[in-house]
Amino acid sequence: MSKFRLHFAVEAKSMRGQRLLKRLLSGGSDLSRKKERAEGHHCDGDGDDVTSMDDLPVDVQLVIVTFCDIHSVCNLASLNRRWNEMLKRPILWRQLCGRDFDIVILPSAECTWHQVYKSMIPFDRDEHHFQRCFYGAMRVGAANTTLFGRPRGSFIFRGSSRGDRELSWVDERGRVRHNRMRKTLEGYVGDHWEDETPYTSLGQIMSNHPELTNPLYDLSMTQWFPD
Amino acid sequence: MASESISVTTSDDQTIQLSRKHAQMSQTINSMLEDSVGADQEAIPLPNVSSEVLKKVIDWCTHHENDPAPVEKVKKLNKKREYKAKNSTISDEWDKNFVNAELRVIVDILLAANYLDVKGLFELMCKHIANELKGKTPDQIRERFGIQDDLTEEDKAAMRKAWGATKNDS
Repeated sequence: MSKFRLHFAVEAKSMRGQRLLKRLLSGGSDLSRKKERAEGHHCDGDGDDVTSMDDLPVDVQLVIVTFCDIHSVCNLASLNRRWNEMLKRPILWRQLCGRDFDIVILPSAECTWHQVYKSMIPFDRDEHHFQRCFYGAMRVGAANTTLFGRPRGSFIFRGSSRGDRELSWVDERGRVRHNRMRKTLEGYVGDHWEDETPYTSLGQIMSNHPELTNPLYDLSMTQWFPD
Repeated sequence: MASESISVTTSDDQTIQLSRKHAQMSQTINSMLEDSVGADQEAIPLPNVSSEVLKKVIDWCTHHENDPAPVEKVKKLNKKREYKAKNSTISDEWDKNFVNAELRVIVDILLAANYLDVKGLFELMCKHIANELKGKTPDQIRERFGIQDDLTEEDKAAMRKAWGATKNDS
């Protein structure tokens, strides 16, 4: 944990972050002053003088964020400007990608960690249950993706012409695996089918399955079995 | 011969005795002790921590003194597992009681845990705050945690677009 925090401390480039770090390192007379002020106001929400989460150093705040679920992170980002800027840091999204999707290597040098995380969330954020159903499947895809450090055998499609609630991926042998969730009276029900044809390029899949849209990886990489 | 109790001076100039075992749960004090072998008669100054907060920290240390020491993760392969273990559930009943406090107290304990480098306590407080954030709208979070709102309506609309409207967002 301490190594982890040190990492964040290095990242704390904003003025406030530096000020807070300095305050923390230099004997914290500020902290005791804050305490005296806080004695006077026991209720929160009273201007500048009360205790607030903003009194915490940036590195501590970032550690807190790594314990939050993604919905809370999105809410935190719309608190105010400082939080919004803070939550754009790549280091945070790297942590979150590792935590939620086991992605520890950046799949491509062109994308950012934030984009990777976003691409792993296929559907609107309201359907918690639905997302949870898919996380397992996506982990499999993600594991393949990061195994070689580039998308090999694991093109993931999200959505199809039938709607957004579908997820397909190509496994390492070129078979297309497809999952669909339907909302019924009993809740969400999943469908699954496989296409056993050993495809060798993305183009073949796209022509055989025109309903699959939105491949998550670069269309120009049509060949994923080099041999 | 190292004495069994350590005295520390807090920010409000009080001298507090704590047992060596508790003192060593704080990496900061621990490294200070290691650096100053032979000079352990002197009280250790802790200018960042008030006596009130330190007592809370000692309470926590007393409850957790028999916990197994955290295992140092050296292998890079284990990193994945470490990520997975990071969920925000607080399992211990005593801990749940402990974190049930005012925001001022929580922030002070968190700062003290950060400064003293008490890993378990630090994680506990982080988890608690993460749990409190769960399911709250931005407005509720601002109110609960005393965060200033400096956004215009356009900013908010843009952010909602960029970060996505969540279920709780109005």
